[in-house]
Amino acid sequence: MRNRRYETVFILPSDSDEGKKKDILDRLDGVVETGGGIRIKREDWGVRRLAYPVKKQPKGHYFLLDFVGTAQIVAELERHMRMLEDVHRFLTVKTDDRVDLEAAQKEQAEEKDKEAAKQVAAKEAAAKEAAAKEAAAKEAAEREAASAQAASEAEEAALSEASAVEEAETEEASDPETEEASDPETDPQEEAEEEAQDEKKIEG
Amino acid sequence: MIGRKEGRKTTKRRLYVRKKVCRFCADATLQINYKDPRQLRYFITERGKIIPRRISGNCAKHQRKITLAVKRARHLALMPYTNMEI
Repeated sequence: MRNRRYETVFILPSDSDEGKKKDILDRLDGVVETGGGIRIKREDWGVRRLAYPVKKQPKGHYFLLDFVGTAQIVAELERHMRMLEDVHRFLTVKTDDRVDLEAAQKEQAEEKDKEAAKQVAAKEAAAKEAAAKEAAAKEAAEREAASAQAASEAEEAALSEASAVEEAETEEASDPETEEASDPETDPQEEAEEEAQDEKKIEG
Repeated sequence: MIGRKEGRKTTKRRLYVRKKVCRFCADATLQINYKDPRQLRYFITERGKIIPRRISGNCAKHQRKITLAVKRARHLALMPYTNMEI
């Protein structure tokens, strides 16, 4: 039988767990391999919104399988996909009628290298991210501790002034000039005082 | 032959609306890919119907390919069969 190049697109449920998906993918790869085919590459398109609901689901996880094989392999592959209840849709298309086995094997090797490189890069990136996150979290915690201290200090100062400020405020309310001078937005002390006042009101 | 009804509804149209050139014939590098709905979107109407050749300007060969691609994309839920809005 002649070896031709095919590509199959299939859709898995968007919400099934990773292990299940991996099992299915490996199983389909196996069908190709045991039939004597060459699996060139597999693409993961991720979860996409479907143009219309399939199996009552609005989204699906798309995969592409690019391989070289005989028509028998195609039939076997489709048989498996039909049986698996998780494969909601599939479509196999012939992409090339004349295939050079050696060239195909080369491609397979190349793709494997690419995939390996990607995984390494992904791991490195993930490790970097984790390290960066830790550093950021530490900084944030330190900053919080520092600002908490500052806030409590300001509160103490404000409480002692609070009574004095209450009297002054009634005067200020009738005098627009002093209001502008002590703009609560730009004066952090006033803000702390206001906060302390609010707390007082809540307690009272 | 069965008699034609009188009073054809179709008014006389211009015979040739075809000023457009097939965009795939013009640019040999453009590929038609059923996996790319963004490219195919130009060849369907708002309701999701395939645009006829005399409007799209495609040559026969490429129109057939487009049609096949759209139908495949529909099967894979990459494109809708219909876009009926309320």
